[in-house]
Amino acid sequence: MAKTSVAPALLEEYGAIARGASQKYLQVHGDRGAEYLGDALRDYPERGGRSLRSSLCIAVARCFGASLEDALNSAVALELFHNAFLVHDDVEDDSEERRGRPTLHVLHGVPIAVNVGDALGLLGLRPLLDNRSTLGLRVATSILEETERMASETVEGQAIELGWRRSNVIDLGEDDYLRMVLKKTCWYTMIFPHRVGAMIGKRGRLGQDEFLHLGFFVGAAFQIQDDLLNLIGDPKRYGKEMNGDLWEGKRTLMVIHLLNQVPGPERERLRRFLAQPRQSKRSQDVRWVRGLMDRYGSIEYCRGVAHGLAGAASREFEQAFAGQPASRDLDFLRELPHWVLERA
Amino acid sequence: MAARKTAPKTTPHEAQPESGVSDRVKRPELPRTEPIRSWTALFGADSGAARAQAAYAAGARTTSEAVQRGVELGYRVVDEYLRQGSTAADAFTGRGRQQALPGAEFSQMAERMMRSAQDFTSLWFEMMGSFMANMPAPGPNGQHAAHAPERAARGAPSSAAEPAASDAGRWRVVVRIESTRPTEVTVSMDEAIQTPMVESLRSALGSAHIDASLEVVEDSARVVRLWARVPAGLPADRYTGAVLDAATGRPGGRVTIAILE
Repeated sequence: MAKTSVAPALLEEYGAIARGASQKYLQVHGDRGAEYLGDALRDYPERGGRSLRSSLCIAVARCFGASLEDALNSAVALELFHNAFLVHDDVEDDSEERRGRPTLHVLHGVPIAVNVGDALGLLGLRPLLDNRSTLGLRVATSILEETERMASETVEGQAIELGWRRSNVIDLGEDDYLRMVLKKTCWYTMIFPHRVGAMIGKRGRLGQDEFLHLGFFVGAAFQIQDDLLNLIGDPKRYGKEMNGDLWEGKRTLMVIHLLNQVPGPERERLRRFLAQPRQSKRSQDVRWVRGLMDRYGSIEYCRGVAHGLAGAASREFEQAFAGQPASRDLDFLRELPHWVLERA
Repeated sequence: MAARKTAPKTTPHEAQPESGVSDRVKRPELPRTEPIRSWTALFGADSGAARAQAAYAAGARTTSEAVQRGVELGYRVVDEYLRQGSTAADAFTGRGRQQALPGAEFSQMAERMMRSAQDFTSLWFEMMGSFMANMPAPGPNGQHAAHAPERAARGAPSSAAEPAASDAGRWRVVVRIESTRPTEVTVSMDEAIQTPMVESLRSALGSAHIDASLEVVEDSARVVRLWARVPAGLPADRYTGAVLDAATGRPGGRVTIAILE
């Protein structure tokens, strides 16, 4: 696949703008309960991150003729929602690292982390309400409705994955995985930013299905690549715990592929491994599973699936943005499926 | 003399799992127990992936097959999702979700339009008096013109404005701001908008707002009058309201009043 050229710079530029604009919302609680709310609230946002979702929203809006300012409130909301999800995800997954530092619940305990996640999610509503002033009531209401739809899909997807782990479900196929990822990841990472950006640019409602194919394909490729990086990424650049998904017993595509390939005795052993809580797992168990993935070609297979999905995303992009004038934003969106696979 | 045990040679990834307290450490199963005499081994087929493919021949897939499978499965899953969503929406509302008309939205819109109209009517005579007194020449106390698509006017308290010379099709905006403090006014308005109205101007944070109204003065000349009264005690900030087409509800610009320190 072609190397990306626009994406890194544009992500840096739009990300900085969105993060900067989110600062005023993050100051809302000021010094009240600083240690347990205000400071903790700003912790994840100040750790940086790529701001992919907010940048996407801005780029799509601009592609359809809006100004950056028109999209800024929605981009800020995406930043805040994303950080809220991360805080809660880390609690749910009992993750230890986020963006190269201990997770919030490791630093402050679960109750405070959950409360901070709630606060970030609620803060995300503020810029969406502020859209009334910049976009008018009609478009602002449409975006709020879309936000409700996104949140609903996302929590459903998260519930599916958590349920698989809680009940130690192992009879899963790749289609089960893709259905779960469509809801858990694709909606809020790709579909929602595309749709909101288009609503802002087109100044109105969208059909129920617009940008769904594109968002799904690029989002699923993104998630698989994310899970691959957890296994084979550069530990210095990754920012999260290597092999953390195995410790957490996540049903990634690689795990599902492996479950469907290993013979009976190893499958039973793998089932017992997945059933164990994180605290009971041992590093040699994790290494054993990781070794099985190499032996049964799970990594290579899933890399292939991700490439297929990214290819389909490129095709869907050409349809979704047909007729839009050439621009840096359009180049970025065209590059997105490639960037998803290239990122380290 | 104690027997010396030799640990089995394993790579880190091949270490055995500890699946229970009673499990004993066992030698790993050897991938093969005799030389490979297959011709495929001549070309280096004994890689991890190749061994795996040999191990599950029926389910074996090359990378290109994985790519194809990803695409096929992806389309199947997303199309199934769309069908389910469409069916659910039809069953729930009797029509597609995208066609649903949110009643609350339009009732709020109507309420805002009505409020703007009432505000405007109640202040009509007062405003007209000030406006006519200030026409055609600018007054001494900072009278300004705002000219769509975007013009900014900085003024002393209680400023009024007159339209500037315009290009055809563009809206000309007469601005009257009642304020005890200096303000800066910015108006942008699309040429396509037919019947402009403006919503309350709000700050980015907080609930404070400024009531404002837009009224077409002369339709043929595309002159519109903006009026706003800045309440005393309102914090210095930027207050923005969307300009909408009253006929269609489509946004077509914005009005911003910055209360200066």
